[in-house]
Amino acid sequence: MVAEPGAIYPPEVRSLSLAAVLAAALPALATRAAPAPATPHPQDAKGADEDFEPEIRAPSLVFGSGASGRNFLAWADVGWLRSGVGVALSLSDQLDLGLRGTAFLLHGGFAEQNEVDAFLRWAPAADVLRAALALETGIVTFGGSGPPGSSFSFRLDAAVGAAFEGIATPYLRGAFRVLDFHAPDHNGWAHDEELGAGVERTQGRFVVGVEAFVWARPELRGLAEWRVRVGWAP
Amino acid sequence: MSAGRLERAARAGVTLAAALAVSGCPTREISVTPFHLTVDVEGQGPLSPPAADPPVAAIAGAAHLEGDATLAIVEPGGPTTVRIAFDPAGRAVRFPAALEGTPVTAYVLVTDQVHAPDGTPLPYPGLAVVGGSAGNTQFMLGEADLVGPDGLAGVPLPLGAFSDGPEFEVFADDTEFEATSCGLAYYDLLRVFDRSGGTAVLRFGGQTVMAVDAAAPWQVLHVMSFHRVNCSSRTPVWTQLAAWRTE
Repeated sequence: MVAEPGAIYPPEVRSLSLAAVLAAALPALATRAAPAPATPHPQDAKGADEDFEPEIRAPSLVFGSGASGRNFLAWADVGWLRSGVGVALSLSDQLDLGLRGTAFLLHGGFAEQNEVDAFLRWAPAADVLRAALALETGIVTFGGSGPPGSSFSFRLDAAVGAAFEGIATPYLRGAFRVLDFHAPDHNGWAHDEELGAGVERTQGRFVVGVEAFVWARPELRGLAEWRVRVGWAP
Repeated sequence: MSAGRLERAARAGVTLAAALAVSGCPTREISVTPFHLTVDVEGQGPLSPPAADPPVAAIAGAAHLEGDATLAIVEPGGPTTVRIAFDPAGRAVRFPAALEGTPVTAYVLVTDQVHAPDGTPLPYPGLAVVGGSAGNTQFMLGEADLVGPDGLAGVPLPLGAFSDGPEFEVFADDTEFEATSCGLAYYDLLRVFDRSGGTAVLRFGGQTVMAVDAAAPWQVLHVMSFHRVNCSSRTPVWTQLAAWRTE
């Protein structure tokens, strides 16, 4: 079932805030993105086979695709400051192994901070509740010609949400990242955090999502961030 | 997809794009308040550049503190008074009280090549004052957009030219930045050397007390240093610092 935008978010509400505009755009985007598959996936053919026990979990950008019967998920994000692409392979119905890359694309193309990370994500579920815990490690390059040029990063990303079948999956997400810094007589670890909320909707093989979050840095004011996400699980 | 849904999707997309373009891509500028050092020769106006290389003027005379941030130097053999002043902008930077009434020499860098990040000329970007009862270096102040050999900010002369004060070096660890309207601006760090192997590292706004010799220790304030990445239309670097002997 595809919910009509107006049925969830009346027009007068949609006009009030950016968050509402983002949320209202989701069903329409999902509808537009949904293809007509030539060969229906078992999940897509829900109800067509009396003996088939359909999975209840739809592929998700935040909570993985393992329990959906789809073993691969690719996505692209457009956001401020980070935009990026990623892929994830399902190791089981609760484990994903993935690779993602980001850049400050809208702010400075590829001339600023670029990051590549590998991650392992554990995503348990119970009824409508969803959770995900991802461990990531990678390298960040800072642009410019001066030292230090790059850092190793380690990141813990956690999310909790509720999947309302056929409607949307709102969630809260937090992340803690450490970055090494290295200069003569000056080595150590810096850290930053992210805290935000988002919503995503799955339509067939496609997932669309929006998320707003704060990128918090010690000693500095937080950065207001957002990202619009589109995923594909063949 | 029906025409109605397509229209709604298009409308939502346009609304989303417009909303993000208007409010979704915030940038933040680094706020800099320079010391704006002034050196005025009574009856003549601002001090002119000397014909020296580097262009450092030496002003000698008896010191009289006219305020925490204003030092008058009465040159011997005449009534000429030179007033050196800066804007502390709420920071606890001040000329040491030990200078009052003692013979001093102020070394001032004079140049037309240095500007604040907003483009304002800073004709006197560096100052060191030698004097007090011990006749040693008592006060240092520097701010400049000079690019050093490593691409980061260079500390302006005459800082570092004296053997009884701390030395300074700007360096980067790329851990803190602002997404400005012209590239990323990374906050850089200031390394302070005590000339006997000891160092301290100060982030922007950081202070430390450091003993350099047997005389009174130094209070060092790193106001701010930064360098820009992916920006060609603005000053690429900046550093601002002050150091003075404690009582």
